Amino acid sequence: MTISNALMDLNHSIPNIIGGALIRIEDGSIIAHVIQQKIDNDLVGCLTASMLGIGERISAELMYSEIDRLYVESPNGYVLVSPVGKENALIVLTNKKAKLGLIFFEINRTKKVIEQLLESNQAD
Amino acid sequence: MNAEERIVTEYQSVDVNNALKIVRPSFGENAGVALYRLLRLVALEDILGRGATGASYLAGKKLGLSLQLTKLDDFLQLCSDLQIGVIEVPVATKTKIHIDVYECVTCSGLDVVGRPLCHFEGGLIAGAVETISGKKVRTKEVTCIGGLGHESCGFDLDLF
Repeated sequence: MTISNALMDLNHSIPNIIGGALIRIEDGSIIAHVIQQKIDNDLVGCLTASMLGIGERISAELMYSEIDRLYVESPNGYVLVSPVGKENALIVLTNKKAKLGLIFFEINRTKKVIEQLLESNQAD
Repeated sequence: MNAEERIVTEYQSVDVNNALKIVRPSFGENAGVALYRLLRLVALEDILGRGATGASYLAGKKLGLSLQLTKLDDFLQLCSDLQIGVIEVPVATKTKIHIDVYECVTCSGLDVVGRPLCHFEGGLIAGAVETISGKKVRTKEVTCIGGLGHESCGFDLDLF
């Protein structure tokens, strides 16, 4: 199992999921992605890292807590960003018909898989 | 006009040419390193938290791309003119480049912070080398003077 496989599994788990990527927060680099459309990796990675940083700041300021996830809703669908461990972020794209409860469940499952993969990679 | 431009078109942005139109009869073109560091390391990180690194890399890359340089020597001259640091390029192949920045404008002289700090420079280098080489470039800061206590800020570049 690789991170790309984990993202692919997430992509196939619910038809409304249309893409996903794992991003290293420290420099906004994309570790792996399964987004079909052509993307600017630096732009997507760095904006995701910035978005997560803002989310963490606003959550700390208003809710006195860390964040579970943040999302952007557009007429075309959702962009969901969740921290994975302390160093990475998972970004998931869905279409507008997505049931977010189901999507969050699959995201949490995938986060655990990715965290285990990252831990085992560090141990190697 | 691409999708990104269409969506953000309402926002009046300042382009590089406009930003460089400087009229300051009393002070001239130069401002202190402290001002840049307060903006980059204190203000930006206070607002964006750890997301500041991505924003800085992106800002540097946009600037690097907009310069439309054609030769590596021009980039080295620009770094010298802007006093970004003393630049050395010990490794330069078709797929790998390593660039060292001594006396880095962002971090030289800081007490060691414990993480790399020079993402703006990394982005600037990536953008400039992308236009020079015609290839996609990703930089990774592997050493940092003020961030990690090294002698230089070192950037590994992968060209795709």
